Amino acid sequence: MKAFYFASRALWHRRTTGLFIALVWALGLLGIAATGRMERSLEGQLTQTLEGTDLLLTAKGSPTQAILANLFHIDEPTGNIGREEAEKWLTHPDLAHIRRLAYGDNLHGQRILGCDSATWTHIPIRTLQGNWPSAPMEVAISEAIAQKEGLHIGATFHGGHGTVEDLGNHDDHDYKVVGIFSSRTPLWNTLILTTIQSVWTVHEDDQDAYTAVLARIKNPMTRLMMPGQIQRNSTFMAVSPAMEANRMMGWLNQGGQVIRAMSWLLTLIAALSLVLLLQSHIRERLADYALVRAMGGSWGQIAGLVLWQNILLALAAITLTYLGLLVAFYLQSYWLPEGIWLNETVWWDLKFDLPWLLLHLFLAVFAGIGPWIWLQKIPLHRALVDS
Amino acid sequence: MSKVLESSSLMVTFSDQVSLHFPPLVLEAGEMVLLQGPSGAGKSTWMHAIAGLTPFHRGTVDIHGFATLYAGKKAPKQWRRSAVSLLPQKPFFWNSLSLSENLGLAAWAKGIDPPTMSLDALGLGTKGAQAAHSLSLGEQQRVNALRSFLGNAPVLLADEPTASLDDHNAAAVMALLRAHLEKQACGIVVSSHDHRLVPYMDRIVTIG
Repeated sequence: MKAFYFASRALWHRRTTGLFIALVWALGLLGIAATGRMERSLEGQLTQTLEGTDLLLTAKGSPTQAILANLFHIDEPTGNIGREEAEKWLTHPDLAHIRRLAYGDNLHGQRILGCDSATWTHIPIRTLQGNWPSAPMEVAISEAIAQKEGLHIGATFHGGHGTVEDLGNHDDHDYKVVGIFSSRTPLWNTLILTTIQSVWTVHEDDQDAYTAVLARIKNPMTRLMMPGQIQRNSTFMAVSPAMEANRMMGWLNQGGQVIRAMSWLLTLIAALSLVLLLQSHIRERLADYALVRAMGGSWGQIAGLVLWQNILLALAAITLTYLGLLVAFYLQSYWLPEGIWLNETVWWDLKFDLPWLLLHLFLAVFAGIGPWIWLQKIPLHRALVDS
Repeated sequence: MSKVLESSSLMVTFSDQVSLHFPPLVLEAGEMVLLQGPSGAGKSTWMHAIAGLTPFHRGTVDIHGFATLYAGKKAPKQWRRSAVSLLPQKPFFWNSLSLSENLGLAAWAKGIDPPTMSLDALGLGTKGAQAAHSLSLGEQQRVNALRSFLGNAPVLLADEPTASLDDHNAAAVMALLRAHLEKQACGIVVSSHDHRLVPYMDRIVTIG
Protein backbone atom coordinates (compact mmCIF):
# COMPACT_ATOMS: atom_id res chain seq x y z
CA MET A 1 0.00 0.00 0.00
CA LYS A 2 3.03 2.27 0.34
CA ALA A 3 3.42 2.23 -3.44
CA PHE A 4 -0.23 3.25 -3.73
CA TYR A 5 0.33 6.14 -1.35
CA PHE A 6 3.51 7.43 -3.02
CA ALA A 7 1.90 7.06 -6.47
CA SER A 8 -1.24 8.89 -5.40
CA ARG A 9 0.86 11.76 -4.05
CA ALA A 10 2.87 11.92 -7.28
CA LEU A 11 -0.38 11.99 -9.26
CA TRP A 12 -1.93 14.61 -7.00
CA HIS A 13 1.12 16.79 -7.56
CA ARG A 14 0.21 17.05 -11.26
CA ARG A 15 -3.55 16.84 -10.78
CA THR A 16 -4.55 19.40 -13.43
CA THR A 17 -3.10 17.38 -16.30
CA GLY A 18 -4.31 14.18 -14.68
CA LEU A 19 -7.84 15.48 -14.34
CA PHE A 20 -7.90 16.59 -17.96
CA ILE A 21 -6.87 13.11 -19.14
CA ALA A 22 -9.37 11.49 -16.78
CA LEU A 23 -12.10 13.74 -18.23
CA VAL A 24 -11.26 12.80 -21.84
CA TRP A 25 -11.20 9.18 -20.80
CA ALA A 26 -14.49 9.49 -18.91
CA LEU A 27 -16.12 11.05 -21.98
CA GLY A 28 -15.16 7.98 -23.98
CA LEU A 29 -16.37 5.62 -21.27
CA LEU A 30 -19.58 7.59 -20.87
CA GLY A 31 -20.29 7.20 -24.59
CA ILE A 32 -19.77 3.44 -24.39
CA ALA A 33 -21.73 2.99 -21.16
CA ALA A 34 -24.63 5.29 -22.06
CA THR A 35 -25.11 3.89 -25.59
CA GLY A 36 -25.29 0.32 -24.31
CA ARG A 37 -27.74 1.31 -21.60
CA MET A 38 -29.97 3.29 -23.94
CA GLU A 39 -30.09 0.44 -26.43
CA ARG A 40 -30.96 -2.12 -23.76
CA SER A 41 -33.50 0.17 -22.14
CA LEU A 42 -35.22 1.09 -25.41
CA GLU A 43 -35.16 -2.48 -26.65
CA GLY A 44 -36.78 -3.62 -23.40
CA GLN A 45 -39.46 -0.95 -23.63
CA LEU A 46 -40.06 -1.69 -27.28
CA THR A 47 -40.53 -5.39 -26.59
CA GLN A 48 -42.85 -4.65 -23.67
CA THR A 49 -44.89 -2.12 -25.63
CA LEU A 50 -45.23 -4.27 -28.73
CA GLU A 51 -46.19 -7.38 -26.80
CA GLY A 52 -49.58 -8.61 -28.04
CA THR A 53 -49.60 -6.18 -30.97
CA ASP A 54 -48.97 -7.71 -34.39
CA LEU A 55 -51.08 -5.33 -36.45
CA LEU A 56 -51.63 -1.58 -36.52
CA LEU A 57 -54.30 -0.11 -38.76
CA THR A 58 -54.26 3.65 -39.21
CA ALA A 59 -54.40 6.40 -41.83
CA LYS A 60 -51.76 6.25 -44.56
CA GLY A 61 -48.52 8.03 -43.75
CA SER A 62 -45.19 7.24 -42.19
CA PRO A 63 -45.20 3.81 -40.52
CA THR A 64 -42.66 4.99 -37.95
CA GLN A 65 -44.77 8.02 -37.10
CA ALA A 66 -47.85 5.77 -36.83
CA ILE A 67 -46.06 3.48 -34.35
CA LEU A 68 -44.66 6.37 -32.32
CA ALA A 69 -48.12 7.98 -32.18
CA ASN A 70 -50.34 4.99 -31.55
CA LEU A 71 -48.10 2.67 -29.54
CA PHE A 72 -45.70 5.06 -27.82
CA HIS A 73 -48.02 8.09 -27.84
CA ILE A 74 -45.16 10.52 -28.55
CA ASP A 75 -45.82 11.67 -32.12
CA GLU A 76 -48.77 13.10 -34.05
CA PRO A 77 -51.15 10.47 -35.46
CA THR A 78 -51.17 10.12 -39.25
CA GLY A 79 -54.97 10.70 -39.29
CA ASN A 80 -58.23 8.78 -38.84
CA ILE A 81 -59.67 5.73 -40.54
CA GLY A 82 -63.32 4.91 -41.24
CA ARG A 83 -64.99 2.83 -38.57
CA GLU A 84 -67.20 0.88 -40.97
CA GLU A 85 -64.33 -0.14 -43.27
CA ALA A 86 -62.12 -1.05 -40.34
CA GLU A 87 -64.75 -3.18 -38.64
CA LYS A 88 -65.09 -5.30 -41.78
CA TRP A 89 -61.44 -6.38 -41.41
CA LEU A 90 -61.75 -6.85 -37.69
CA THR A 91 -64.07 -9.82 -38.16
CA HIS A 92 -61.09 -11.85 -39.49
CA PRO A 93 -60.90 -15.07 -37.43
CA ASP A 94 -57.12 -14.83 -36.90
CA LEU A 95 -57.40 -11.45 -35.15
CA ALA A 96 -57.57 -11.34 -31.37
CA HIS A 97 -57.24 -8.82 -28.58
CA ILE A 98 -58.47 -5.98 -30.82
CA ARG A 99 -58.06 -2.49 -29.37
CA ARG A 100 -59.60 0.57 -30.97
CA LEU A 101 -58.10 4.01 -30.31
CA ALA A 102 -59.31 7.53 -30.99
CA TYR A 103 -57.25 10.64 -30.32
CA GLY A 104 -58.68 14.06 -29.92
CA ASP A 105 -57.83 16.17 -26.94
CA ASN A 106 -55.30 16.99 -24.29
CA LEU A 107 -55.14 18.44 -20.82
CA HIS A 108 -52.23 20.88 -20.60
CA GLY A 109 -50.35 18.83 -23.21
CA GLN A 110 -51.18 15.43 -21.67
CA ARG A 111 -52.98 13.34 -24.25
CA ILE A 112 -56.54 12.18 -23.77
CA LEU A 113 -56.77 8.82 -25.48
CA GLY A 114 -60.11 7.23 -26.36
CA CYS A 115 -59.96 3.47 -26.00
CA ASP A 116 -62.34 0.54 -26.01
CA SER A 117 -62.59 -1.74 -22.99
CA ALA A 118 -60.08 -4.26 -24.45
CA THR A 119 -57.34 -1.71 -23.76
CA TRP A 120 -57.87 -1.90 -20.01
CA THR A 121 -56.68 -5.52 -19.93
CA HIS A 122 -53.63 -4.56 -22.00
CA ILE A 123 -52.29 -2.01 -19.51
CA PRO A 124 -49.79 -3.45 -17.01
CA ILE A 125 -51.36 -2.01 -13.90
CA ARG A 126 -49.67 -1.58 -10.54
CA THR A 127 -52.65 0.04 -8.77
CA LEU A 128 -56.14 1.24 -9.70
CA GLN A 129 -58.43 3.32 -7.50
CA GLY A 130 -62.01 3.63 -8.76
CA ASN A 131 -62.88 2.19 -12.15
CA TRP A 132 -61.93 2.26 -15.78
CA PRO A 133 -64.15 4.60 -17.83
CA SER A 134 -67.30 2.92 -19.14
CA ALA A 135 -69.53 5.83 -20.15
CA PRO A 136 -68.88 8.88 -22.37
CA MET A 137 -66.79 11.67 -20.75
CA GLU A 138 -65.49 9.43 -17.98
CA VAL A 139 -61.70 9.30 -17.65
CA ALA A 140 -59.05 7.35 -15.77
CA ILE A 141 -55.84 9.26 -15.10
CA SER A 142 -52.44 8.19 -13.87
CA GLU A 143 -51.32 9.00 -10.33
CA ALA A 144 -48.64 11.27 -11.76
CA ILE A 145 -51.20 13.33 -13.69
CA ALA A 146 -53.61 13.38 -10.73
CA GLN A 147 -50.84 14.80 -8.58
CA LYS A 148 -49.67 17.29 -11.20
CA GLU A 149 -53.15 18.56 -12.08
CA GLY A 150 -54.57 18.30 -8.57
CA LEU A 151 -57.34 15.96 -9.75
CA HIS A 152 -59.17 13.33 -7.72
CA ILE A 153 -61.96 10.87 -8.33
CA GLY A 154 -65.11 12.82 -9.07
CA ALA A 155 -63.22 15.90 -10.29
CA THR A 156 -64.08 17.39 -13.70
CA PHE A 157 -62.05 19.30 -16.30
CA HIS A 158 -62.18 20.62 -19.86
CA GLY A 159 -59.98 19.18 -22.55
CA GLY A 160 -57.96 21.25 -25.03
CA HIS A 161 -58.31 20.44 -28.71
CA GLY A 162 -55.69 18.23 -30.36
CA THR A 163 -52.74 16.39 -28.89
CA VAL A 164 -50.80 19.54 -27.98
CA GLU A 165 -51.65 22.56 -25.83
CA ASP A 166 -53.07 25.89 -27.01
CA LEU A 167 -55.24 24.74 -29.90
CA GLY A 168 -58.44 25.89 -28.15
CA ASN A 169 -60.60 24.42 -25.37
CA HIS A 170 -63.73 22.31 -25.47
CA ASP A 171 -65.43 24.34 -22.74
CA ASP A 172 -68.82 22.82 -23.37
CA HIS A 173 -67.74 19.26 -22.51
CA ASP A 174 -66.60 18.22 -19.03
CA TYR A 175 -64.51 15.13 -18.45
CA LYS A 176 -65.06 13.40 -15.11
CA VAL A 177 -62.36 11.41 -13.29
CA VAL A 178 -63.63 7.91 -12.35
CA GLY A 179 -60.33 6.12 -11.87
CA ILE A 180 -56.70 6.79 -10.89
CA PHE A 181 -54.11 4.21 -11.91
CA SER A 182 -50.42 3.61 -11.90
CA SER A 183 -48.75 1.47 -14.59
CA ARG A 184 -45.49 -0.44 -14.59
CA THR A 185 -44.88 0.83 -18.14
CA PRO A 186 -43.98 4.54 -17.98
CA LEU A 187 -45.74 5.54 -21.21
CA TRP A 188 -49.21 4.73 -19.82
CA ASN A 189 -48.54 7.06 -16.89
CA THR A 190 -48.38 9.96 -19.34
CA LEU A 191 -51.96 9.44 -20.63
CA ILE A 192 -55.51 10.30 -19.71
CA LEU A 193 -57.70 7.39 -20.77
CA THR A 194 -61.33 7.69 -21.76
CA THR A 195 -63.89 5.84 -23.87
CA ILE A 196 -63.97 6.24 -27.64
CA GLN A 197 -67.50 7.61 -27.27
CA SER A 198 -66.05 10.56 -25.31
CA VAL A 199 -63.86 11.54 -28.25
CA TRP A 200 -66.80 11.18 -30.65
CA THR A 201 -68.98 13.27 -28.32
CA VAL A 202 -66.45 16.11 -28.19
CA HIS A 203 -65.59 15.92 -31.91
CA GLU A 204 -68.88 15.60 -33.69
CA ASP A 205 -67.14 15.74 -37.12
CA ASP A 206 -65.02 12.68 -36.36
CA GLN A 207 -67.83 10.34 -35.35
CA ASP A 208 -67.52 6.85 -36.78
CA ALA A 209 -63.75 7.20 -37.05
CA TYR A 210 -60.85 5.57 -35.24
CA THR A 211 -57.33 6.96 -35.04
CA ALA A 212 -55.98 3.42 -35.01
CA VAL A 213 -56.78 -0.19 -34.36
CA LEU A 214 -54.29 -2.54 -32.69
CA ALA A 215 -54.62 -6.32 -32.71
CA ARG A 216 -52.83 -9.58 -32.17
CA ILE A 217 -52.66 -12.06 -35.05
CA LYS A 218 -53.00 -15.61 -33.78
CA ASN A 219 -51.67 -17.43 -36.84
CA PRO A 220 -47.94 -16.87 -37.50
CA MET A 221 -48.40 -17.28 -41.26
CA THR A 222 -51.20 -14.70 -41.30
CA ARG A 223 -48.95 -12.43 -39.23
CA LEU A 224 -46.60 -12.18 -42.21
CA MET A 225 -49.24 -11.89 -44.92
CA MET A 226 -52.05 -9.87 -43.40
CA PRO A 227 -50.55 -6.36 -43.21
CA GLY A 228 -49.73 -6.45 -46.93
CA GLN A 229 -53.13 -7.88 -47.79
CA ILE A 230 -54.98 -5.12 -45.90
CA GLN A 231 -52.70 -2.46 -47.34
CA ARG A 232 -53.54 -3.54 -50.89
CA ASN A 233 -57.29 -3.87 -50.35
CA SER A 234 -58.19 -0.91 -48.14
CA THR A 235 -57.88 2.83 -47.91
CA PHE A 236 -55.70 2.68 -44.81
CA MET A 237 -52.24 1.65 -43.79
CA ALA A 238 -51.54 -1.71 -42.13
CA VAL A 239 -48.26 -1.96 -40.29
CA SER A 240 -46.51 -4.85 -38.58
CA PRO A 241 -45.14 -3.07 -35.48
CA ALA A 242 -42.56 -5.79 -34.87
CA MET A 243 -41.03 -5.31 -38.33
CA GLU A 244 -41.07 -1.53 -38.01
CA ALA A 245 -39.60 -1.79 -34.53
CA ASN A 246 -36.80 -3.97 -35.87
CA ARG A 247 -36.08 -1.32 -38.47
CA MET A 248 -36.12 1.40 -35.79
CA MET A 249 -33.77 -0.63 -33.59
CA GLY A 250 -31.54 -1.08 -36.64
CA TRP A 251 -31.27 2.71 -36.99
CA LEU A 252 -30.66 3.07 -33.29
CA ASN A 253 -27.97 0.40 -33.40
CA GLN A 254 -26.28 2.12 -36.32
CA GLY A 255 -26.34 5.41 -34.44
CA GLY A 256 -25.07 3.57 -31.37
CA GLN A 257 -22.21 2.07 -33.36
CA VAL A 258 -21.09 5.51 -34.54
CA ILE A 259 -21.17 6.84 -30.97
CA ARG A 260 -19.37 3.75 -29.73
CA ALA A 261 -16.64 4.07 -32.37
CA MET A 262 -16.09 7.71 -31.41
CA SER A 263 -16.06 6.76 -27.74
CA TRP A 264 -13.42 4.11 -28.32
CA LEU A 265 -11.37 6.67 -30.21
CA LEU A 266 -11.58 9.00 -27.20
CA THR A 267 -10.53 6.27 -24.81
CA LEU A 268 -7.58 5.37 -27.04
CA ILE A 269 -6.53 9.03 -27.16
CA ALA A 270 -6.80 9.09 -23.38
CA ALA A 271 -4.69 5.94 -23.11
CA LEU A 272 -2.05 7.46 -25.38
CA SER A 273 -2.10 10.64 -23.30
CA LEU A 274 -1.64 8.45 -20.27
CA VAL A 275 1.56 6.98 -21.72
CA LEU A 276 2.84 10.45 -22.63
CA LEU A 277 1.93 11.92 -19.25
CA LEU A 278 3.71 9.15 -17.42
CA GLN A 279 6.68 9.23 -19.75
CA SER A 280 7.13 12.99 -19.43
CA HIS A 281 6.72 12.78 -15.64
CA ILE A 282 9.38 10.08 -15.40
CA ARG A 283 11.73 11.98 -17.71
CA GLU A 284 11.25 15.09 -15.61
CA ARG A 285 11.81 13.22 -12.33
CA LEU A 286 14.23 10.62 -13.69
CA ALA A 287 16.82 11.06 -10.94
CA ASP A 288 14.13 10.70 -8.24
CA TYR A 289 13.16 7.31 -9.64
CA ALA A 290 16.79 6.39 -10.24
CA LEU A 291 17.58 7.12 -6.61
CA VAL A 292 14.74 4.82 -5.49
CA ARG A 293 16.40 2.09 -7.57
CA ALA A 294 19.85 3.06 -6.28
CA MET A 295 18.56 2.66 -2.73
CA GLY A 296 17.52 -0.90 -3.57
CA GLY A 297 13.99 -0.43 -4.91
CA SER A 298 12.96 -3.66 -6.63
CA TRP A 299 11.35 -3.93 -10.07
CA GLY A 300 8.09 -4.74 -8.29
CA GLN A 301 8.30 -1.60 -6.17
CA ILE A 302 9.05 0.56 -9.22
CA ALA A 303 6.14 -1.12 -11.04
CA GLY A 304 3.91 -0.25 -8.09
CA LEU A 305 4.99 3.41 -8.20
CA VAL A 306 4.42 3.68 -11.95
CA LEU A 307 1.35 1.49 -12.54
CA TRP A 308 -0.64 2.75 -9.56
CA GLN A 309 -0.53 6.23 -11.06
CA ASN A 310 -2.24 4.96 -14.21
CA ILE A 311 -4.69 2.75 -12.32
CA LEU A 312 -5.65 5.71 -10.15
CA LEU A 313 -6.27 7.81 -13.25
CA ALA A 314 -8.41 5.02 -14.69
CA LEU A 315 -10.39 4.80 -11.45
CA ALA A 316 -10.88 8.57 -11.54
CA ALA A 317 -12.16 8.26 -15.13
CA ILE A 318 -14.53 5.45 -14.13
CA THR A 319 -15.83 7.51 -11.18
CA LEU A 320 -16.40 10.48 -13.49
CA THR A 321 -18.19 8.15 -15.93
CA TYR A 322 -20.66 7.00 -13.27
CA LEU A 323 -21.21 10.60 -12.19
CA GLY A 324 -21.97 11.39 -15.85
CA LEU A 325 -24.39 8.45 -16.03
CA LEU A 326 -26.09 9.68 -12.88
CA VAL A 327 -26.47 13.18 -14.32
CA ALA A 328 -27.72 11.77 -17.65
CA PHE A 329 -30.28 9.61 -15.86
CA TYR A 330 -31.68 12.44 -13.78
CA LEU A 331 -31.63 14.93 -16.66
CA GLN A 332 -33.33 12.62 -19.15
CA SER A 333 -36.67 14.29 -18.44
CA TYR A 334 -35.29 17.37 -20.24
CA TRP A 335 -34.25 15.57 -23.41
CA LEU A 336 -36.44 12.47 -23.74
CA PRO A 337 -40.24 12.20 -24.02
CA GLU A 338 -41.71 10.91 -20.75
CA GLY A 339 -43.05 7.76 -22.39
CA ILE A 340 -39.59 6.47 -23.26
CA TRP A 341 -37.64 7.47 -20.18
CA LEU A 342 -34.79 5.11 -19.59
CA ASN A 343 -35.42 2.16 -17.40
CA GLU A 344 -33.86 2.58 -13.96
CA THR A 345 -33.29 -1.15 -13.53
CA VAL A 346 -31.43 -1.37 -16.84
CA TRP A 347 -29.51 1.87 -16.21
CA TRP A 348 -28.04 0.66 -12.94
CA ASP A 349 -27.52 -2.96 -13.92
CA LEU A 350 -23.77 -2.87 -13.34
CA LYS A 351 -23.01 -6.44 -14.40
CA PHE A 352 -22.96 -5.28 -18.03
CA ASP A 353 -20.16 -2.85 -17.13
CA LEU A 354 -17.74 -5.42 -15.77
CA PRO A 355 -16.10 -6.36 -19.13
CA TRP A 356 -15.31 -2.79 -20.17
CA LEU A 357 -14.31 -1.81 -16.63
CA LEU A 358 -11.76 -4.62 -16.59
CA LEU A 359 -10.68 -3.79 -20.12
CA HIS A 360 -9.98 -0.17 -19.19
CA LEU A 361 -8.10 -1.11 -16.06
CA PHE A 362 -6.03 -3.41 -18.25
CA LEU A 363 -5.50 -0.53 -20.68
CA ALA A 364 -4.28 1.64 -17.79
CA VAL A 365 -1.80 -1.02 -16.71
CA PHE A 366 -0.75 -1.64 -20.31
CA ALA A 367 -0.14 2.08 -20.85
CA GLY A 368 2.22 2.04 -17.85
CA ILE A 369 4.25 -0.97 -18.92
CA GLY A 370 6.31 0.90 -21.56
CA PRO A 371 7.46 3.69 -19.22
CA TRP A 372 8.11 1.15 -16.47
CA ILE A 373 10.32 -1.05 -18.68
CA TRP A 374 12.16 2.06 -19.85
CA LEU A 375 12.72 3.04 -16.22
CA GLN A 376 14.11 -0.42 -15.47
CA LYS A 377 16.58 -0.13 -18.31
CA ILE A 378 18.01 3.34 -17.69
CA PRO A 379 21.66 3.35 -16.52
CA LEU A 380 21.45 4.55 -12.91
CA HIS A 381 24.91 6.08 -13.03
CA ARG A 382 23.99 8.34 -15.98
CA ALA A 383 20.58 9.24 -14.53
CA LEU A 384 22.16 10.43 -11.28
CA VAL A 385 25.21 12.14 -12.78
CA ASP A 386 23.41 13.88 -15.67
CA SER A 387 20.67 15.25 -13.44
CA MET B 1 40.06 -2.37 12.90
CA SER B 2 38.34 -4.65 10.42
CA LYS B 3 37.98 -4.22 6.70
CA VAL B 4 34.52 -3.25 5.51
CA LEU B 5 35.45 -2.71 1.84
CA GLU B 6 38.11 -4.19 -0.36
CA SER B 7 38.10 -3.20 -3.98
CA SER B 8 40.73 -4.47 -6.40
CA SER B 9 41.83 -2.39 -9.42
CA LEU B 10 38.61 -1.64 -11.23
CA MET B 11 38.18 -0.81 -14.88
CA VAL B 12 35.00 0.78 -16.20
CA THR B 13 34.51 0.91 -19.96
CA PHE B 14 31.93 3.17 -21.50
CA SER B 15 29.96 2.57 -24.71
CA ASP B 16 32.41 4.79 -26.64
CA GLN B 17 35.17 2.37 -25.60
CA VAL B 18 36.76 4.91 -23.26
CA SER B 19 38.02 3.11 -20.14
CA LEU B 20 38.73 4.43 -16.68
CA HIS B 21 41.10 2.60 -14.33
CA PHE B 22 40.86 2.93 -10.57
CA PRO B 23 43.44 1.87 -7.95
CA PRO B 24 42.75 -0.75 -5.30
CA LEU B 25 40.96 0.58 -2.24
CA VAL B 26 40.67 -0.87 1.24
CA LEU B 27 38.40 0.76 3.79
CA GLU B 28 38.50 -0.04 7.47
CA ALA B 29 35.53 0.19 9.82
CA GLY B 30 35.42 3.65 11.39
CA GLU B 31 37.55 5.16 8.64
CA MET B 32 36.66 8.15 6.48
CA VAL B 33 38.57 8.53 3.21
CA LEU B 34 38.64 11.54 0.95
CA LEU B 35 38.70 10.77 -2.76
CA GLN B 36 40.33 13.59 -4.64
CA GLY B 37 40.99 14.18 -8.29
CA PRO B 38 40.37 16.62 -11.11
CA SER B 39 36.98 16.86 -12.81
CA GLY B 40 36.53 14.03 -15.27
CA ALA B 41 38.93 11.73 -13.41
CA GLY B 42 35.99 9.47 -12.67
CA LYS B 43 35.38 9.93 -8.95
CA SER B 44 31.60 9.54 -9.31
CA THR B 45 32.03 6.63 -11.72
CA TRP B 46 34.27 4.81 -9.26
CA MET B 47 31.78 5.33 -6.44
CA HIS B 48 28.89 4.21 -8.62
CA ALA B 49 30.83 1.12 -9.69
CA ILE B 50 31.40 0.19 -6.04
CA ALA B 51 27.71 0.95 -5.31
CA GLY B 52 26.62 -1.39 -8.13
CA LEU B 53 25.01 1.40 -10.14
CA THR B 54 27.28 1.03 -13.15
CA PRO B 55 28.97 -2.16 -14.32
CA PHE B 56 32.76 -2.49 -14.14
CA HIS B 57 34.69 -4.64 -16.56
CA ARG B 58 37.68 -5.74 -14.55
CA GLY B 59 38.21 -6.34 -10.84
CA THR B 60 36.15 -7.34 -7.80
CA VAL B 61 34.51 -5.56 -4.90
CA ASP B 62 34.16 -7.19 -1.49
CA ILE B 63 32.03 -5.77 1.27
CA HIS B 64 32.04 -7.41 4.64
CA GLY B 65 29.04 -9.69 5.04
CA PHE B 66 28.06 -9.74 1.36
CA ALA B 67 28.94 -11.94 -1.60
CA THR B 68 31.77 -10.61 -3.81
CA LEU B 69 30.71 -8.42 -6.71
CA TYR B 70 32.52 -9.58 -9.84
CA ALA B 71 33.30 -7.70 -13.06
CA GLY B 72 30.54 -7.87 -15.64
CA LYS B 73 27.94 -8.95 -13.07
CA LYS B 74 24.92 -6.93 -12.14
CA ALA B 75 24.80 -5.95 -8.50
CA PRO B 76 21.95 -7.75 -6.73
CA LYS B 77 19.16 -5.72 -5.16
CA GLN B 78 20.49 -6.58 -1.70
CA TRP B 79 23.83 -4.94 -2.55
CA ARG B 80 22.13 -1.63 -3.31
CA ARG B 81 19.80 -1.99 -0.35
CA SER B 82 22.15 -3.02 2.44
CA ALA B 83 25.80 -3.22 1.43
CA VAL B 84 26.36 0.32 0.19
CA SER B 85 24.56 3.53 0.91
CA LEU B 86 24.84 6.48 -1.43
CA LEU B 87 24.78 10.14 -0.48
CA PRO B 88 24.33 11.88 -3.84
CA GLN B 89 25.52 15.41 -4.53
CA LYS B 90 21.93 16.55 -5.14
CA PRO B 91 19.29 15.27 -2.73
CA PHE B 92 16.71 14.25 -5.42
CA PHE B 93 13.76 14.53 -3.09
CA TRP B 94 10.32 13.74 -4.49
CA ASN B 95 8.65 17.12 -4.74
CA SER B 96 5.23 15.49 -4.24
CA LEU B 97 6.24 14.25 -0.79
CA SER B 98 7.00 15.94 2.49
CA LEU B 99 10.38 15.69 4.14
CA SER B 100 9.25 12.85 6.45
CA GLU B 101 7.58 11.06 3.55
CA ASN B 102 10.80 11.25 1.55
CA LEU B 103 12.55 9.45 4.39
CA GLY B 104 9.66 6.95 4.40
CA LEU B 105 10.11 6.41 0.65
CA ALA B 106 13.81 5.65 1.15
CA ALA B 107 13.04 3.18 3.96
CA TRP B 108 10.41 1.52 1.76
CA ALA B 109 12.92 1.21 -1.13
CA LYS B 110 15.47 -0.34 1.25
CA GLY B 111 12.86 -2.74 2.60
CA ILE B 112 13.19 -1.55 6.19
CA ASP B 113 10.75 -0.06 8.68
CA PRO B 114 10.07 3.67 8.45
CA PRO B 115 12.78 5.66 10.22
CA THR B 116 12.31 6.32 13.90
CA MET B 117 15.12 8.85 14.01
CA SER B 118 13.92 12.31 14.50
CA LEU B 119 14.47 15.35 12.37
CA ASP B 120 14.91 17.12 15.72
CA ALA B 121 18.53 16.03 15.72
CA LEU B 122 19.01 18.20 12.63
CA GLY B 123 17.06 21.07 14.12
CA LEU B 124 14.30 20.41 11.59
CA GLY B 125 11.74 18.86 13.92
CA THR B 126 8.99 21.26 12.92
CA LYS B 127 9.60 20.88 9.20
CA GLY B 128 8.80 17.20 8.72
CA ALA B 129 5.47 17.91 7.01
CA GLN B 130 6.93 20.51 4.66
CA ALA B 131 7.86 19.88 1.05
CA ALA B 132 11.58 19.27 0.74
CA HIS B 133 12.06 22.12 -1.73
CA SER B 134 10.87 24.62 0.87
CA LEU B 135 14.04 23.97 2.89
CA SER B 136 17.35 25.73 2.41
CA LEU B 137 20.08 23.92 0.49
CA GLY B 138 21.99 23.27 3.72
CA GLU B 139 18.92 21.83 5.40
CA GLN B 140 18.20 19.66 2.38
CA GLN B 141 21.73 18.29 2.37
CA ARG B 142 21.55 17.44 6.08
CA VAL B 143 18.32 15.48 5.47
CA ASN B 144 20.00 13.91 2.45
CA ALA B 145 22.77 12.71 4.77
CA LEU B 146 20.24 11.47 7.31
CA ARG B 147 18.52 9.49 4.54
CA SER B 148 21.80 7.82 3.54
CA PHE B 149 22.20 6.54 7.11
CA LEU B 150 18.99 4.46 6.78
CA GLY B 151 19.69 0.75 6.92
CA ASN B 152 23.16 1.27 8.44
CA ALA B 153 25.06 -0.03 5.41
CA PRO B 154 28.71 -0.95 6.18
CA VAL B 155 29.90 1.34 3.38
CA LEU B 156 28.69 4.89 2.78
CA LEU B 157 29.70 6.67 -0.43
CA ALA B 158 29.23 10.45 -0.33
CA ASP B 159 29.51 12.22 -3.68
CA GLU B 160 30.46 15.90 -3.30
CA PRO B 161 28.27 16.28 -0.18
CA THR B 162 29.37 19.86 0.52
CA ALA B 163 29.76 21.16 -3.03
CA SER B 164 27.25 24.01 -2.80
CA LEU B 165 27.29 24.64 0.92
CA ASP B 166 28.64 27.49 2.96
CA ASP B 167 31.16 26.81 5.73
CA HIS B 168 28.52 26.50 8.41
CA ASN B 169 26.42 23.98 6.50
CA ALA B 170 29.45 22.08 5.20
CA ALA B 171 30.62 21.68 8.78
CA ALA B 172 27.16 20.53 9.85
CA VAL B 173 27.06 17.84 7.16
CA MET B 174 30.57 16.63 7.99
CA ALA B 175 29.70 16.53 11.67
CA LEU B 176 26.74 14.32 10.84
CA LEU B 177 28.93 11.98 8.78
CA ARG B 178 31.53 11.81 11.52
CA ALA B 179 28.91 11.06 14.18
CA HIS B 180 27.42 8.30 12.04
CA LEU B 181 30.87 6.82 11.41
CA GLU B 182 31.60 6.65 15.11
CA LYS B 183 28.22 5.28 16.03
CA GLN B 184 27.93 2.61 13.34
CA ALA B 185 31.61 1.74 12.78
CA CYS B 186 31.06 1.78 9.05
CA GLY B 187 33.46 3.07 6.39
CA ILE B 188 32.86 6.29 4.51
CA VAL B 189 34.33 7.42 1.20
CA VAL B 190 33.82 11.07 0.34
CA SER B 191 34.58 12.32 -3.14
CA SER B 192 35.19 16.05 -3.26
CA HIS B 193 37.31 18.94 -4.44
CA ASP B 194 36.49 20.72 -1.22
CA HIS B 195 39.65 21.37 0.78
CA ARG B 196 37.53 22.30 3.80
CA LEU B 197 36.93 18.56 4.27
CA VAL B 198 40.56 17.56 4.72
CA PRO B 199 40.58 17.98 8.55
CA TYR B 200 37.69 15.52 8.87
CA MET B 201 39.46 12.75 6.94
CA ASP B 202 41.51 9.81 8.14
CA ARG B 203 43.13 9.33 4.75
CA ILE B 204 43.23 10.90 1.29
CA VAL B 205 43.23 8.94 -1.99
CA THR B 206 44.02 10.83 -5.16
CA ILE B 207 43.13 9.61 -8.64
CA GLY B 208 43.62 10.98 -12.15
